[in-house]
Amino acid sequence: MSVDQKNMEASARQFLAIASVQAELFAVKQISRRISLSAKNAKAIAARAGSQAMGFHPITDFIDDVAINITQLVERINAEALKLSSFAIANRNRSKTIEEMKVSSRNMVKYADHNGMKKRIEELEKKKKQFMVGYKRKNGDLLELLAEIRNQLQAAEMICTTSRTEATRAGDFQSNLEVVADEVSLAVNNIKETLQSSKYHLSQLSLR
Amino acid sequence: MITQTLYDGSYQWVVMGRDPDKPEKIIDTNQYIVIDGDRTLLIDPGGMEIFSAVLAATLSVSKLEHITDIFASHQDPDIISSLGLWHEMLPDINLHASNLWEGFIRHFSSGDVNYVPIPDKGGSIRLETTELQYIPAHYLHSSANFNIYDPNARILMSGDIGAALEAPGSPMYVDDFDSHKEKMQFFHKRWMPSNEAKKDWIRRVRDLDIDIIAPQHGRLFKGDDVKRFLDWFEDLDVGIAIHGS
Repeated sequence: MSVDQKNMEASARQFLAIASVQAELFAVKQISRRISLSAKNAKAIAARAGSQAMGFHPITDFIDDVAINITQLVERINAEALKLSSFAIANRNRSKTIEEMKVSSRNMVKYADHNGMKKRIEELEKKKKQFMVGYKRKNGDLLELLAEIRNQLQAAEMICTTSRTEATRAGDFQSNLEVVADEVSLAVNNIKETLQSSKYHLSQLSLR
Repeated sequence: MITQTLYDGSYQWVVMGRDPDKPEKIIDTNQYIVIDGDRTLLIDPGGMEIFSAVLAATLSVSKLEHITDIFASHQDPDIISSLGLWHEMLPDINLHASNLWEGFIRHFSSGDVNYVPIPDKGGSIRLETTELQYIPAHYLHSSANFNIYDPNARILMSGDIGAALEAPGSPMYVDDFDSHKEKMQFFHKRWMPSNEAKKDWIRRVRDLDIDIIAPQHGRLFKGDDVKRFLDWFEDLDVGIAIHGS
């Protein structure tokens, strides 16, 4: 396999990885909307339960906040992933140009201007190295944003535990509130699984 | 890739084509270069797949840093899909093409190439010592389409007008016009959409002083074959697909 083919395959993997992360984050956003709905549902139940579910009011606000935070983080990650995708395309074009120029150089050794090409190839390779530094930084930023979502999820897990405790004090409304806690817990687990996959895809983004 | 000089005066016209290493399934194309001192103009530099061959051929007659301008007769991929590579290599390059295609052709590069739009009525480009004219050839075949005419060298680079589909390695010039007609016929009948546009173009081109018609595919027309081609094209009914081919 030629260097050019290897580069093309690597580029294809990068585009696929970024597209996968974006698709997964879209799913996370949908799930966080579900969490937000569950919070609103819990708020309505708590209102009906009155004094029996007093402890549930601040919890529902907190769940809603977590859902909003996750949605905002996902939007930021999506924007960063888009930038990374543009970076990958630019890198692919630069690599392709360098490879093609090298092929040309091999075919034109007899011509006097060979040195002009060599110089330009060196400049482009230097530019590519600088570009890679920026790319790695952006990839790191993305991983940090994913870690922030995980922090939010840990908070959500704690809320689920507290919710179950509070539900036991809600009398007739106990089962309704337990359902809400289960829904949030399921959503959190779904997001965790999806993020695990996104983390894997981001680890595949090393460029040549 | 074969290079052949078409004009050698105070500046040069060179045709590049008949690339023996070209991938089999892509159409063969002629690329042209005008080298005028420190300014080199690439005319219809071709697709991505032939970039390295065109680059090597170009650098056999011009210095890299002298390649300042690219002209694209229209928006097709076999004309200009290599733009992204040229632009990456030469970030200051100027691309001259129809204003109508600007937003489209930019898709072939990172989008920020220095695009010099050509209005529908045409215009000209000044190199170091010579000036070349953009001759409108709209609807032949592209809806916004230009030829390049050099009144001094008497060369008309005609884009897809005069193109022929033929076997690899064919000669650079038409040597027997009668036998060449059938190689051009389908291309012109099917790709050219408008008899009206064709007649208008022929009327204008007949007023030009032309030694060579240089199309983007197939052989070039020289001397009496220039008039033979114009007469043949005038009599040809084009736009046949409207009748279901």
